[in-house]
Amino acid sequence: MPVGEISLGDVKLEQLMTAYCNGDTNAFTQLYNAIAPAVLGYLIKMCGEKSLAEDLLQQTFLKVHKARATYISNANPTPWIYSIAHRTFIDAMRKKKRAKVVMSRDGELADVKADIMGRNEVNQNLGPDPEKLEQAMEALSTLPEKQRQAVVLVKLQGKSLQEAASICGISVGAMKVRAHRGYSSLRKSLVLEPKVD
Amino acid sequence: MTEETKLFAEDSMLPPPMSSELLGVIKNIAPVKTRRPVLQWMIFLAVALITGAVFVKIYGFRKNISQVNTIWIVGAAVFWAMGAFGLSKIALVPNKGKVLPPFKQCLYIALGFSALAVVFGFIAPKIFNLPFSDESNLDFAIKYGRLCFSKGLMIALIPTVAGLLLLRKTAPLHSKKLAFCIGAIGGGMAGLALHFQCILNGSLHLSLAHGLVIVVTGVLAVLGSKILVP
Repeated sequence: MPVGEISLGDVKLEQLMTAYCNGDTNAFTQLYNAIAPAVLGYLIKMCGEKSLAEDLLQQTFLKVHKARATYISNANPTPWIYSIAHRTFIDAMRKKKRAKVVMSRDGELADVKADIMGRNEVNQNLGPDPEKLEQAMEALSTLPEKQRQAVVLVKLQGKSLQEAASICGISVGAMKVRAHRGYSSLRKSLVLEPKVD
Repeated sequence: MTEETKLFAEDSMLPPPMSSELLGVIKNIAPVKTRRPVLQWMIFLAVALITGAVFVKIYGFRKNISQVNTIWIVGAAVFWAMGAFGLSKIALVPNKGKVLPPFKQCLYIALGFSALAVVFGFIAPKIFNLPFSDESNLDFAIKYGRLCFSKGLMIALIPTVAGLLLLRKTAPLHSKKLAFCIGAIGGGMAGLALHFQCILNGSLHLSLAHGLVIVVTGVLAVLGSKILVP
């Protein structure tokens, strides 16, 4: 089970989603309780702000509610909900015009090279040290948006390559490459940074 | 340690409370009919085929069909039909257990189909030694080229709009890729209808007037891609 998702026993998310589409409020609540923590974790890692991520989470579920008629009965709703969450994140970034994310002319989020210069050397093995965690968060935020998404889904949220690829709408191979490149960049920026005198 | 940092380190958090807006919305959840992709695909194909058939009925069936190479007539018809049907299956019917179609695959196949239509249209008259291939009269070529192109666009727009409406709110991401694919399907259907109506077989005519409809409809569909975003 991916990190942050609550066990539902024998009940599957597909069943909850189908019941919710049939008008069952309780099923929606259960679905929310099962998926919201993981989606919130994903959004926090993508945007780096808890309050914004919480707001985006609520917007995500409102969009899920409005688009529930486009759900296909008995299909896995997780990649679909993550896609909606990512769309919500992109829209929010566009609105905010945050400097961290650069948009290309075609409206997609453009790849930007990670800045690995000018920071102190950090141990590779991140412990619970808050300073190191903050540095990891900062390093993550400097990754190109697509690589960040891959690292968050595969390395931090424990999703399978198949599931992560399904969320991003790309092939498993492409997801593997993205995650590897992102992880390598992350390691570089955390371990190989030159000391600043 | 900031709250974000704590959450970054630890994922297994409790679900955050729902906002008042969300609580208000879900108080009375109305049951909805969920998407039935195969049915939508059938509707889409019916709309596209009826549009093409009506067009051929209005403008008349290809008069020189008996004079043209049978392999060309059948082969080109199969190419247009398979391209459009195959693409529509990929775009409208996601793989089993999935809600989202394979967006990149849709785009790549649509681009390949467009390129093949343009290139194949250009070389086919030479390969099949088709009649009426003389395009030395530029005025003639432009006049009938524009006529076929505009007819093709008219035919293509109906299935394209139908496809966009059927798939509305289904693509949280990659909506432009999916929209281009739907446009290419519409263009493919138009190519099929033109193939059974137009008597001209010039390289430039087949390539630019018939084949390019796919690309143009694809680009036009991208303009309406917002309808696909939930």
